[in-house]
Amino acid sequence: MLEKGKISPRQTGQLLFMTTIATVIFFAPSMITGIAGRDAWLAALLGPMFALITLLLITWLGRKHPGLTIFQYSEVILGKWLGKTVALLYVWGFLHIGAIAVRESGDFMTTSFMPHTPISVFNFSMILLCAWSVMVGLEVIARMSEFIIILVVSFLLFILLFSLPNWELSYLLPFFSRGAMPVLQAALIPAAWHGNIIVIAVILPFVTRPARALIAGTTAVFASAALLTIGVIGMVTVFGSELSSSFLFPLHLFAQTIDIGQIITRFESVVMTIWMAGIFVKTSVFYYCAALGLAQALNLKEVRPVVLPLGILLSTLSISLFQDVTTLVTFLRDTRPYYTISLYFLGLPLLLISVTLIREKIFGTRFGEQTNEA
Amino acid sequence: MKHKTYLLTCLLAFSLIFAGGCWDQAEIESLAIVRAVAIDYLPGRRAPYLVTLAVKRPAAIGQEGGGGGGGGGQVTLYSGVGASIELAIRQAALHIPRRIFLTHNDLIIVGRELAEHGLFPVLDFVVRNPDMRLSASLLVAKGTGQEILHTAERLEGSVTDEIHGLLDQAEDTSETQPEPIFRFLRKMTTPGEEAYTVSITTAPLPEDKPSKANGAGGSGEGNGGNGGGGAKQEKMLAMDGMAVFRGDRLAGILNHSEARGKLWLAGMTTRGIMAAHDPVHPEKTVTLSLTRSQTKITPSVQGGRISFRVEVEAEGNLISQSSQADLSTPEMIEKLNSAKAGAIKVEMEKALQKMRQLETDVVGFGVLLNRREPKAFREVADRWPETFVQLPVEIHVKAYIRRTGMQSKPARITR
Repeated sequence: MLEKGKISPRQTGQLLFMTTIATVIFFAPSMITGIAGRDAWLAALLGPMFALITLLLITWLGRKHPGLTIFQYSEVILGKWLGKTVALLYVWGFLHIGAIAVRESGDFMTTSFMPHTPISVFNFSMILLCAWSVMVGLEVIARMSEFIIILVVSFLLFILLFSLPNWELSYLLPFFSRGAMPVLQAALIPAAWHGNIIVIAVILPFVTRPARALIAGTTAVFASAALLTIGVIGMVTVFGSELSSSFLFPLHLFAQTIDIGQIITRFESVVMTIWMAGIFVKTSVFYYCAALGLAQALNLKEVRPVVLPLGILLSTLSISLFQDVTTLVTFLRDTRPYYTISLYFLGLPLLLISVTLIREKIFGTRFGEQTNEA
Repeated sequence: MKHKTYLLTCLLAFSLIFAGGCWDQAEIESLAIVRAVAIDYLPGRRAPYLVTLAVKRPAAIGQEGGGGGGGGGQVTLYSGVGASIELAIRQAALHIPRRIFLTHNDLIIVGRELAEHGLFPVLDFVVRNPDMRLSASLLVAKGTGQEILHTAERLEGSVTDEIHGLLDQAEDTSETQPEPIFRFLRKMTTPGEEAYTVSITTAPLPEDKPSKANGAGGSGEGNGGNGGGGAKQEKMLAMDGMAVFRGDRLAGILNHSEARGKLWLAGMTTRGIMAAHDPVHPEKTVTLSLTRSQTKITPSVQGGRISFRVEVEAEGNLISQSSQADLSTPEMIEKLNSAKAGAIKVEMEKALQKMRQLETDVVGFGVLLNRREPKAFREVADRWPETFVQLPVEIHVKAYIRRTGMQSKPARITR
């Protein structure tokens, strides 16, 4: 085994929660309102539910192949070469999502706080930190996120709570002013973010009670959806839908509006804390998944040798994937939902499931016993 | 274990480099903390934007004294002109020995000329610039914004503090309403609603005659008196009603009672006092205070005809009377109630008339219609300002005088 640590179902849920909420609440609200207008909150509530499908597929696969990560059982199901291709596809997927997350954080920092500092400073230091946490393993990441989640959630709740005096709930009316289609279309955006729950395909074997992972994942999805929905409601009721859709980082501007008696004010730096801490956990998880996947696909005995090369790749990607912030936003809004959902969150898991079923039903292969032999 | 500690130490030491702020190092000693920004438009120029920054003096306390016209107290003014707001700030920076730091700015004062020309550049600047805060208050100056910041402070340490004080006091009179910039933006971008904010001006003391102090010599009037010492007629800041917009352009300014009428319509009156006719001697005035009020606007659509019904309930106290009549009987209070209701209705109608004249729906009738009858609103959404002007608005006011202060009826004065 490459990973000796074990994490509890609760930690699993927290990790899944962090991988989704960390970025979705920063970028998604303005994109969702851009499409769905004042019904954005409905899209924010609906979209994440999609992740439950991914969760069901993956936990089913995990139960069929206990103790194996997606990189391993894809090989078991599809055979050596095809399986390795799928495993490497996922390694790329995790790396890609990780790089995007790092890039988002870098762009946020250079836009909002330190415009003269090169983005590479933020990206590289973030990746360095993440590389370290990947080296020490999943258990440490999970324990760390147990602390960070308190920080992130309480700060987010503070921001939402203190902004309550500015909320004009009537701005949510009338419902369905643009019809139902835009809502469904906008729901794809949070769906793409919540599909990140796919990391459970990698960490499931390390959960102490894998049967509980489904519940943990569902809780994570619901919690994240609830927080996102409240956030979207807050933004639409404070700014109106037209204005929120024009913002790049709506949460930052949202925090700026907090002003209670000129004492409780200036929450922007809190936003930075949430953002950085969240991105750190998220990137660590994805980086870890990519590293473990590569090590398993290459039959290495340790994860360590691939961590630094992957880190360098991650750093390069985080800079060179997008030329500018508009490319990033356009990609996140127009391309990524379709690409990630069709390939990673639905396509490949469905492929694996159907091949498993075909081999079981038609060829009589029995899965789940190879682990004992190996 | 040992090399882990080593790694940790290295990483922590390494992070110290970043703790300094990298390329964005900003030490407090090198910052010019801006407390207010005034933006004016100079028509017909190639570089039309005039930006005036009120910068907090680093050693603000104990620096009173001789400064010329430049707002002598705790803030000092810098101005620049440019083709855009940012360029104008750049030009102002040529005079400032420190780095301009906008994060602590919470006042944006816009000159009338710019407001009429369109606020879009200001709003773009405020939203786009990460240092500008969306909770800053937006004010429209009746003249130029620079002139407002140029006014000498009277009570507080600086002119910016004075403006803050005035804004805080606005709810005591309910004659205008300051708006943070995010709410202004929200109203501006929501269909069926227009934005408004405080209008501010500079004025001498009411009924203060300049000739009294300067006595002889016609030059003492107004302009010439700037440099001369002695008792000159001093201008001071004054809240001046409500600046209402159509889109991002200033449509007009509601005066005090029109502005309160607008607040009645929107249900946002807080406190304040108002006059009504004395029920016994109509030529005399009774003064009534406002304590609590509630407004309900009901849109209705009947056969494609849109109308609104506004119901106001206002509570208040009797705070003074100029006749000696006994107003403390239930019958008299009843008459006072209707006198007050009448006065409120007049204010509301005045506001409505002005809004119609300016074609700007600052109350948000359109938004209310959209909430209740989205279909009806969708038909007229594109030409809402023109439509709104013709819609009938029924106003019903109920007023209650609850208390009469510390005395019930005036004591009879004997000869």
